[in-house]
Amino acid sequence: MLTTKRLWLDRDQPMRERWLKFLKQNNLQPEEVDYTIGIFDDGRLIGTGSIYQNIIKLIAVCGDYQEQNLLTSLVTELADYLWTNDITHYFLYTKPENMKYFTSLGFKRIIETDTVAFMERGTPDLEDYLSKLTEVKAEAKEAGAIVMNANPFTKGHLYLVETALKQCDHLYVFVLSDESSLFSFEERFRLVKEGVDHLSGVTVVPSREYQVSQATFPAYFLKDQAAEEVAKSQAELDATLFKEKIAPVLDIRIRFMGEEPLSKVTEIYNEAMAATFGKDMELVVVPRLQSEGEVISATRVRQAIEDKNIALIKHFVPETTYRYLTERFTH
Amino acid sequence: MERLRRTMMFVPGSNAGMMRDATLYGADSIMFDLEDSVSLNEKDSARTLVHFALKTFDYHSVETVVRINSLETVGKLDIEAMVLAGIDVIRLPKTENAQDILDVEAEIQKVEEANDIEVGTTRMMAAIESPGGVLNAREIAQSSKRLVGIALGAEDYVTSMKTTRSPEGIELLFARSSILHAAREAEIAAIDTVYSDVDNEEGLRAEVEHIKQLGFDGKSVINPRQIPVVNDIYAPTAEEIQNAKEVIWAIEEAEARGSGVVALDGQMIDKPIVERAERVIAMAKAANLISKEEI
Amino acid sequence: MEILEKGISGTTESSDIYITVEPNDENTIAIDLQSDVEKQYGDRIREVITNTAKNLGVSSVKVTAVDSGALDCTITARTLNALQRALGNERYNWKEIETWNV
Repeated sequence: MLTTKRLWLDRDQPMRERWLKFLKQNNLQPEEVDYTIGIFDDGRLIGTGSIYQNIIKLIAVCGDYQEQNLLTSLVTELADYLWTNDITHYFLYTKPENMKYFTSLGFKRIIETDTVAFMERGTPDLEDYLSKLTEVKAEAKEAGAIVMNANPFTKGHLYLVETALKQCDHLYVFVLSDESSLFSFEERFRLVKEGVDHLSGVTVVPSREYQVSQATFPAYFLKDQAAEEVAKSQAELDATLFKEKIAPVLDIRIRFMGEEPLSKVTEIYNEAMAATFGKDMELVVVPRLQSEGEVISATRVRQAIEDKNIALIKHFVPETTYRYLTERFTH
Repeated sequence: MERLRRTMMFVPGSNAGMMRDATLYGADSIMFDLEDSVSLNEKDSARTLVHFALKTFDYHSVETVVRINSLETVGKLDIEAMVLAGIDVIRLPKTENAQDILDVEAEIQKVEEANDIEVGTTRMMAAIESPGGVLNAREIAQSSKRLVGIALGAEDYVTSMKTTRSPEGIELLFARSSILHAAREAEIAAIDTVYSDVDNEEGLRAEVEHIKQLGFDGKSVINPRQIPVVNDIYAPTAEEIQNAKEVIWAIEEAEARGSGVVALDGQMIDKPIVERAERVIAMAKAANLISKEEI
Repeated sequence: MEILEKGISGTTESSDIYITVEPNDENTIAIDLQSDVEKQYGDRIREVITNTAKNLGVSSVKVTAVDSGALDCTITARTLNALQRALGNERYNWKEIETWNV
């Protein structure tokens, strides 16, 4: 008889080992998860699936069993769990060849690479996002894009925007919607908007879950702690999604990146983008703005905030951000 | 956490050799007997021997119980010697009704008060061995706060019932059920009667499985050889332990989340499930099936 | 205090000691000990018996002890019990006994 059970990976070491072994047998790299279930046949682990935030992932089923039934039952169970936790819009990672099973469960294809397919269920979905982007689309022959967290917006970010703007007709600045930063999305978005307000030809838009998010690229948020192979496959998917879904809607031809010489994950991301874009799109890496021999970065601004070094903050951020910071941190 | 009482081993109070070794066999409780196993003219020597044993040996976490003689004979002398030796539990020989408990309790209290021992330190256990006692199980169970459990003594009982003991134990079903209900209502332990045929391990096994299923906390044993058999049957299975752990983890997770509702694999975790899980974990620890630190 | 009656306690079983106490013509605690472990523990067994008698206030007694490997607490228990039987005491003063240094 088949039973489905929660796996307590963080407490049940023997079970964790079984799960890791099972993933390995199914060519899946372990990633951080919040919740995991397993299907057992008389104590033998024959299927598993996990949830991380609002993402169903690491789904695998033993080849001896009829895949479709077990896969759909795993995903239904996990979707129920998300539903009881008030999560009604969620994502799913699966093998491209299994996409058909989930289409029948109401999942929509977002994008796929050779190794992985990315799907979603619930709204607002990618279609809604793309139609929102269409609404703000500018007339341009050569549009460019930057994706930034801007935690918070610095003179470095401003320099990147200005540099990019010189190389294209219109620039879209995507601000990461993910809420795992010191500054909330609302704050970061506002500061970017205020920071580029004086420039013409710039549109600031949210990235939602579709660019460098916990869904598309969780390794990015682990700051070089994720396995390289995992980061690579995620970067590839993120780049493909950008190239195939987002860029066409806005006629984006060039993607700009701020240089991160010390970050392995950024290097992986850049390589993946270059490979994915091929000849269809251009990738431009802009060197960092240095100020009196010092590199300006949001990390250093956050450190200066912690140190209450007002002079340094002022030195690193544009007037708009400075005003906001003094308001926020003097109360 | 309530104490485990899977096995309560009889040690005749006259047997000097067993006094020290009694802890070695792994019983949860040791019951020194001053009553039936001691002849009339050796009551004083047994009492003296047990007193010094209790004062001398470290019984660690093993519960020490002594079965005293009736108050009409030398029970009062037994109580004094045992309370002053620091016995955990005084077990009455034959309990007919609540008054029997109260009479012994009054004697215990006298000794405690006269010797600056906090009143209530010495706990009590009733032994029901007669039809009247079975019918009064409920009032007996509720008679005193000192009571930690009720034990069934079947030999005299079946004789009074004009029957004998059978392997299936049908003749004891009413007595066992009555005692269990009384004990559970009063939230004290229920301990089953001895299995006298020491050489019949299979028979013992069957009987322990039966009384475990009924709900008894454990069984009185008369030979160290019986202890591992009983403990083994009371030991939870690997699957029971795993399920119990998961229940505890689910509760911990819900508490960390500040959620009052706990669900596991689609099932609501309510109080009885939690209690059962905690009992399984305690049993598993006692049986060394999981380490003390593990959960 | 003198012992005027005979008193017996204990058994010859393993780990026990069989104690007989009788009147002694002389005002001493005389001990006749038989033990398999005489060489190693003889002095200690005599000491425990003597101390128990003294603690009880007995100064004149003849003790015959047949030891089968008894521990100190058993020797004390059996000696005390034999003496109390000889003295006709049924109820012991446990509180006082607790203060004994055997």
